[in-house]
Amino acid sequence: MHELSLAEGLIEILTEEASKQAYRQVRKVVLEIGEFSHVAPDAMRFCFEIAAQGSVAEGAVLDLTFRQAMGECRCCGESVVMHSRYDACPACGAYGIRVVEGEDMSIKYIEVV
Amino acid sequence: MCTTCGCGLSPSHTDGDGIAGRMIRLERDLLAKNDRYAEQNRDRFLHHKVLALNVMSSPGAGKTALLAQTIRELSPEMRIGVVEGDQQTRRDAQRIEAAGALAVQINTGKSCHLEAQGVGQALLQLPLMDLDLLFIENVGNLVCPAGFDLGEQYRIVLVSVTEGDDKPLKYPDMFATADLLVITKLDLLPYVEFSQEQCVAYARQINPELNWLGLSSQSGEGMLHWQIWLDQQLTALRTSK
Repeated sequence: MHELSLAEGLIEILTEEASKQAYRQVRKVVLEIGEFSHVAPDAMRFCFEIAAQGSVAEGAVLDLTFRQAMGECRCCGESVVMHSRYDACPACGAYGIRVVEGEDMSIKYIEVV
Repeated sequence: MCTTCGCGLSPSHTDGDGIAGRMIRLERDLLAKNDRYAEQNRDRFLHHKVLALNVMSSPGAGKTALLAQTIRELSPEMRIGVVEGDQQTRRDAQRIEAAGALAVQINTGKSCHLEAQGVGQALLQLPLMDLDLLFIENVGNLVCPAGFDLGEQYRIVLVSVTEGDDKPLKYPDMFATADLLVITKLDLLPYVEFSQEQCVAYARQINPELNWLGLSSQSGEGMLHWQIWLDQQLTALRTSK
């Protein structure tokens, strides 16, 4: 389950930021997950809870927000909302739409005390 | 909006216990750490002019068989090293060593993919300056390895003819980032329903520029094309600045 390593990476960032931003506890983490990123939400929540144990983020709420995948047609340049990687362009029918947005996973906000 | 106190994530936000919490905007990428290690690996490969290939597939598609056969055919003229990723055992590393190349085994334990940091540590055990080619054989898995850059120059994905030609549509992430599709076990083609053309067409629906070739490590069919592809990439790497 690769969500565990992602969750461990997340905890590492929160721990690192704790000294920089002078907080002792994280209450909430808002993650933005691209539709085409490699995160299964339930697995991520489960792994976050485990990875957070004993850290500054123990017991914190994990809030997942989703970002729609957007692409650009290589043929006609149309901007396209993507539902799968193998969609055809709705404007010209060509395949191989280049993904422009929706592959990232990032921490947006944290709430701390 | 915050679901506890109803504020719009403002600085005056308070939690249930009444202690004011602070909202901090971070914008940090979850994969940033892996990407940093991947960049270090990439620099090392380029410094030593080693062609590094991340080889991925589902379990049993013939990754180790292809690498072992490639080593038997190309070494010692070509100096090859292999980083082997598996959850458990040194079996694949032993197969590679028996074929005549240097191998470092990474056992990922519970993890389903290789990460750049682990590969970087494995590289310390290989004489990179004496190598032409480094194969990084990822954990057999058509999903998770796609998400982790290891610093490789090219990503190769294998699909065996016994798997079904619609694999690219079922596991699109893997094919979206691949540079070369290798269809393996061509010697078994007469016994299964598999269309190479269909498999390639599906893969190119996701990644139109994907190159492909078909081969059998067992019969040797197509191995020449594979060697030519390797040669081309090595030449390109050596003539690059």
